[in-house]
Amino acid sequence: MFTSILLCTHGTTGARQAERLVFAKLLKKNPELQVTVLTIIDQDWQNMTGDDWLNSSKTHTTFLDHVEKQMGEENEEDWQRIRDKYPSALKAQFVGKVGAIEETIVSEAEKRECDLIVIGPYLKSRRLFNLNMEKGLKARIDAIKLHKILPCPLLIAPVVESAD
Amino acid sequence: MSEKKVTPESENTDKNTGEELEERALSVFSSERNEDMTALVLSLLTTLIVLIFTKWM
Amino acid sequence: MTQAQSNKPLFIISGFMVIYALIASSGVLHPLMKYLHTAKAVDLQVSMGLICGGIGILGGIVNIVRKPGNTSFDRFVLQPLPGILLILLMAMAIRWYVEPLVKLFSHNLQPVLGFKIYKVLNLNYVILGLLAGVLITNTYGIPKFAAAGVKCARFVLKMGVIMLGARYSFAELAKLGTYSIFLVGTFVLGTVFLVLWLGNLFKQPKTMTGVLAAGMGVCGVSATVAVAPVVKAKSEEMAYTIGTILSFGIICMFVFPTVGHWAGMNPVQFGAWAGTGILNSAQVAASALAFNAVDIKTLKVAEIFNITRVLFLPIIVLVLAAWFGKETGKKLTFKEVVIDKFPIFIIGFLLLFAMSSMGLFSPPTHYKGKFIDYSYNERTQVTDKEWDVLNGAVQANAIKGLNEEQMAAVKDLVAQRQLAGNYESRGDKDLFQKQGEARMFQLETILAAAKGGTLHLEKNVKAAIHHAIKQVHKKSKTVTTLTDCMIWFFAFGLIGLGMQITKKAIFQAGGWPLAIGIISGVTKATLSFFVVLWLVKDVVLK
Repeated sequence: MFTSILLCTHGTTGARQAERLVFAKLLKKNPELQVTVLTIIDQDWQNMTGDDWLNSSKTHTTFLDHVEKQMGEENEEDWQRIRDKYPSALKAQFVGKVGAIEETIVSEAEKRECDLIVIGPYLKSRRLFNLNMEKGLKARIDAIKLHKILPCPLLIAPVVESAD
Repeated sequence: MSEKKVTPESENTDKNTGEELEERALSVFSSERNEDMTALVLSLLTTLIVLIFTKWM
Repeated sequence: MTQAQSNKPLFIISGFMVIYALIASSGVLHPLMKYLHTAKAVDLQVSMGLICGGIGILGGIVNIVRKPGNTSFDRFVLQPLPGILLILLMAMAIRWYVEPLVKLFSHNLQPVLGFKIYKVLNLNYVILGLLAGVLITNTYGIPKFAAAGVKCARFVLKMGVIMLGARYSFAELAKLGTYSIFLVGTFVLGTVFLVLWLGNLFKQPKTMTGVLAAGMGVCGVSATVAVAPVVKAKSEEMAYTIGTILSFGIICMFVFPTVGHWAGMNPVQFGAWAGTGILNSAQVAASALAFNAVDIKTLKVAEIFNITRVLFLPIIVLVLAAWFGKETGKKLTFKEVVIDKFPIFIIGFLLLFAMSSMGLFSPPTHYKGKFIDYSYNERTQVTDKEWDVLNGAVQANAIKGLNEEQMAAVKDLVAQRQLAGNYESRGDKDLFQKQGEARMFQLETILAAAKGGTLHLEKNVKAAIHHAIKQVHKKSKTVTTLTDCMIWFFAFGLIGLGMQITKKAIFQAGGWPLAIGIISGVTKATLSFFVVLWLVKDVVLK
């Protein structure tokens, strides 16, 4: 019944559950599905300059440019990981966007006329006392915020142990 | 932040729209302008006003 | 953001300011202000309310009449105006209402808790302002209309530093500069190498230790932001490092002043310690003001350290660039790092320092804002009551243990009712001044002896002598006003910067950066604490 899926991932354990659901399950049953993989570069990187007041705007801009470039490269790597793992992902479209998480999901879904949004489940973050570092900015999807502006159904992948 | 978009099929249709650039320039002093210089001028102005009111008047 | 949207809050805020000013000027609030001990500031409250509110209403009217455009006037004045007024309103409310209330509460809670929260956490208006900023951002969020104004905070804080330049003398700058170059130099380089070494020890990538070393060594997030593009840091390295540095800095901001008071540090020592040990430079300023917001000694010391650190930043960037240059293939020129990034506000600081040294802000005889006015004048006399006390004590020969010169000085004080030279020598200004200075010196030794316990003075005699000395110390009105402006700039800047600390950024902390950061940060803070106590003696600050 669905024809076009928007898969939101940023490579975390939770997000990988969503990847697995889409590429290993949904796409197997229905190979005609169009999949767009969306990776968002969180707008809140802007806030990561914190209470810095010494640097001029120029330095801030250079920093944000670097973040974008770096995140772009890291996203490419992550997408390659997906393609390596799921052959069915080769047909998918990969999109990187800068913006606020919830708004960007919605605007992309609308723009690409997707009829289903797939995200990973809520998992407890083990960031503080964990020496294995996760890529990118730790960010959560604000469910309430997203639910209020959803343009199409939202599917949350369940936790399956063997997703990695 | 301006928009970044990379796709494997180099499907790169979206250009930086003016709106999104605006968003980033929201910092009152966008990159070209030197905020240190403005700070200097404004402090000198404040000093001058204080001098006028407390010493020269 | 359309102009119409931003206009309503602007009118509400400025209208509130004007109405408050009118109510305050009518005197209705006098009992409340007296209760809060803010009655002396009523004139300032009224004029600030009227001026700021007036400007706000004017801006709102301009917004209505004029078509919004994209000129400098729009971007630099009209758009930030509501945010600026909001922060100002917060600053005023905190300084005149929240801080006194917190004081009262913690005073009343003392029997329950056994200590004064206010004293232990140093909750003065600067810290409260910063906390209010953090609170707003992380609960309600910065209101949209205020976003542009909040972004001005950085730049207003720079103005504060520039204006602070007016408060130094050559001697102070030289002495403090020596301390800071020595301490900052040692600890910056020490921490940078410690972090690089730890990174090596734990086999961490060079890019991560690079950003972390800069952040822990020089000036926190500022250094990280400047260095990250140079060393091509990875996303998680930047996120974890910034989170670690931000949270570490906020903890320092509360711990440092409390430890400083507890260890009995003097302003110079505390300023030096905070300037060396605290990572983010905004937090250095905040903790200096937390240590002492009434007189700005601590801030003066801490800012010199801050400026020294800023000057060290390009050096560190160059060093790290050289360290990583081969791997990243990116070459940095001297011009890119030093000339392009040279903070112009430091030139402004020096400019105001030069202007003040030339005596622009005070009459030529003034020394750095405070000058001694021995001239015969009613306003330099002791009060009648004090005179009675002194006269009675001298007549009854009740002041014992003074040497001849000290006694003579006290007798002259009674005779002249104020500190001054000899009446006969008033024609010769230099001689008159010298006699006055000599007498003041004697009176000060009396007070010092009384304080040290070698001399017993009656309480009211002591108070009278103290007041006599105080009466001849006059501040230049210009310098006093400039200092007030500066403190407001700092308060404004710190509220605005508080608004830029999000919990999301703080909670990025973790991983190796947290581990290495805690080791190096605690080491730096502890070592600098002892080095400062050992090396830094009190510098006489005027």
